[in-house]
Amino acid sequence: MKDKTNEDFKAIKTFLEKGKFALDNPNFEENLMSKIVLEKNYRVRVRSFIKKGFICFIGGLTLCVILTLWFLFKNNSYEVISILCLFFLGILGILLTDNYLKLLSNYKILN
Amino acid sequence: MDDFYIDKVLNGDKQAFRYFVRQYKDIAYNLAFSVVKNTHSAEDVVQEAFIKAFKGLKSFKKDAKFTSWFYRIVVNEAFMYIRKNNIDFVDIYEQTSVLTTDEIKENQEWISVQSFMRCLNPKESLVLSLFYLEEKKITEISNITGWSISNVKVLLHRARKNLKELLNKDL
Repeated sequence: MKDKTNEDFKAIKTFLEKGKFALDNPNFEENLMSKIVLEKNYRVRVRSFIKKGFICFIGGLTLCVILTLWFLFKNNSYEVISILCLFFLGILGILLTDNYLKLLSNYKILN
Repeated sequence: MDDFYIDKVLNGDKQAFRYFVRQYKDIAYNLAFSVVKNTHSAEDVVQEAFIKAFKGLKSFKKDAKFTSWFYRIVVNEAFMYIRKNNIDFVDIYEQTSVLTTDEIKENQEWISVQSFMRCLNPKESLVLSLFYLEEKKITEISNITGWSISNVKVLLHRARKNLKELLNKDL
């Protein structure tokens, strides 16, 4: 009984082996490796870009707040320069937050 | 040997992953083909499976077999591919149309085996490939596919029966 099972196994194995495939695309390995290396680099780059963006955002915001407060308290009145400073602070804040959120959503897609 | 290269990749040597590509691409291709039944789709599946394996290598536990872990990724990827693309299985002879008459004569056996395999349902042909070509045990097949042991046994029995019926019909 066991011999018959073994014979059956060998017969089916031999039959199936005749239909075995070999991946004959010569560029397969290179394409795959370049994808793997690039994807990893891209992820590292995006991650460092997000870090830099975040540092710039925090730094820029702090600088603008300090400058605005400095101008406000130094002159003890609302001057053109402090209003301009506030205006740029607003623009910078919106731009950076927007880009930061865009980057975050792209990063989610990548993952 | 696998463990050595796994450590290399995890230590940052991305090129060491080539070892796995060279070692397992053909096996993965055959497994993927038994499910998707199309050479181009099988290649896509294998590529995606390798990328997933690379990304998930950190989560691989070394007490398990790398092959079983990797085959599981390939199988999942292949079934996901047919679910996503709603694949309509084309005839094997469509793919042989690019071969010359001499090549077809030379590959006649291959073509007939592949046409038999195409007639089987993806689960059955996958179980046949794992059991006979990769010589995996029922429990290992169950681990790879995520199906119960009794389900694998039933599929294997049905696949054998269908294959024999197809062969008898052809003869």
